[in-house]
Amino acid sequence: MKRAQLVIGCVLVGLVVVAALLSLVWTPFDPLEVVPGDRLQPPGWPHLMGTDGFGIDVLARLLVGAQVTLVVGVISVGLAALIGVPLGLWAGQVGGWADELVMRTADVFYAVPALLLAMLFASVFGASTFTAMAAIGLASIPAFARVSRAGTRQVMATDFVLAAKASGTSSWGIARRHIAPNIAPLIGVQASVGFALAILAEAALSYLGLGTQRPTPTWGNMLHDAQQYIFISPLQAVWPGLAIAVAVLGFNLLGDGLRDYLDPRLRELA
Amino acid sequence: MRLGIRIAKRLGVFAVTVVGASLLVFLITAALPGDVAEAILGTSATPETVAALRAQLGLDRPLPVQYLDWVGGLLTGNLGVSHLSGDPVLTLLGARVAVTAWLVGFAMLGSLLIALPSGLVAAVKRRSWQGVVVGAGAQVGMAIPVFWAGILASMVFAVWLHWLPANGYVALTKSPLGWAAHLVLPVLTLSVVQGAALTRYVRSAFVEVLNEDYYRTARAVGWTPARALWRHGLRNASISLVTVLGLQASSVLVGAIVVESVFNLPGLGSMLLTAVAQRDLLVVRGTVMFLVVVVLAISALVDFSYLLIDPRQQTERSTQ
Repeated sequence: MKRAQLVIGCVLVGLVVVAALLSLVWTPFDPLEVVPGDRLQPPGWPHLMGTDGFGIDVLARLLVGAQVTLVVGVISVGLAALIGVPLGLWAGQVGGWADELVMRTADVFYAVPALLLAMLFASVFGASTFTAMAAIGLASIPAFARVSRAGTRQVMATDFVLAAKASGTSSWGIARRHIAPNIAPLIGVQASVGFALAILAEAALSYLGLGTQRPTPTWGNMLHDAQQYIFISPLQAVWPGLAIAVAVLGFNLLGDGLRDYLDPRLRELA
Repeated sequence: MRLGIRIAKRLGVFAVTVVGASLLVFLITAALPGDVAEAILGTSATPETVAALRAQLGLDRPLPVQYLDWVGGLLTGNLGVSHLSGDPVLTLLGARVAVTAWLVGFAMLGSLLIALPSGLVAAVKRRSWQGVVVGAGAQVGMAIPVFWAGILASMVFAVWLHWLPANGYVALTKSPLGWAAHLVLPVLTLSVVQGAALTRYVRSAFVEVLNEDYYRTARAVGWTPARALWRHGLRNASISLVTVLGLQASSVLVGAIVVESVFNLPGLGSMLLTAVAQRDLLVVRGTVMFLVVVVLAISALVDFSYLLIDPRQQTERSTQ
């Protein structure tokens, strides 16, 4: 049953990755070329998912949209992990004022969610893929810091760390040899769940016009454009939403499945 | 006595976090290399007009002076002035805040109404099909972006069934019925999506209780599950639930901003988006800071209620 989560998660994430890779080499139609004669076609042949208000094939745009989703996810989660994990490790290992400093800073970032950060960035620089990634990445730092801090504290309380300390291993050595391998699974789970959140955030930002700008297709801006046609072409507003849901569900299941797989004690609780 | 100290400590944390957040908001909008004056005026502006606008916005002064000036304004209720309309940000906020507050308040309530029963079912029936169904439903609900849920809701209830208006807003004072009709879909949308995430927390809070000795004892002496859960479960689970509600404050607020845009509600979200598009920096900065303080205040209040609900918290050392 719980293995099923992991398997379904992998399949859904795999679908998104395949769509993104496929779109690099092939799309059924040009995802950018406006064809006025083909506006708002219903799903059928040759446009499997129909066309949008510019006469562009929806399937083609959907496939290309997967690229933006994955790139923004990878970069923002990577940024958050690169900054958050060392901070959490440091806070957990040193404790005291360092702990206090990192955790209070995390509180501050927690209170300024990605959407508000993105608005601040967009009002200074103008909205772009870059400002969206920066906002999502910054807003995701606290989660990584908290998870790695909690894990570090657990490891620091074990006897093997006590033994390592007694035998004169340096703090750096303890971090490298004992803490890092033990908290790596936690970070992996957080990365997967964080990826799901990043996809949701990116979609919301590009829906609101605060992320990737047209003509580059994203699932969020496709939904925004489709909204004005819900009276005549409602299916257009279904496909991109389904794509987002599949991607988010995939990463969430992957994260949950991974956690259960790695820590059987949590099976009951999570 | 102990309680007083802990409340004072928590207030201190609140103050420090607000200062930290104000620094973050300020630094992003003032210290980064983007030149707002140039961005507002466009490429055709002469250096003189850019300099004039910079002076008007106060951007030509040293950063610490700008920061202290801004914070001083915040403390006296002056959030800044829109450089486009000349209106104080506080006035603009006042005209918009009610819509967002209604939406957030009802959605919090709605998500609880969804999450409490479904989370309880998921916990009690966690080994049978009902639990699996609720769990799967919550997973799917969490994967649905809130704006898509809004679009689907207006497609079904406004476009096909014609039951409710697809967008827009009517003030409560103008027409209570119209007000309610326009709020139903946005509130429903936000409640369902938030409720899905909340269900998982409710479930694990109750599962924890079901594994406790006091619950087993109550069952062993012959109490029905319902009685044991009512007497012991709800109180103990409520401690973790209150915390979760506090943590949800910021996600409900973010959700509300997005939902406002889906349904064209004239709240803080649409005001912020317009201000961002017009590069009305001081409006964005002031409104964001206002929202951040609200989030921080809610989480501080939650911590206070946490101290009051759980007597153990009043004596134990702070648990991080």
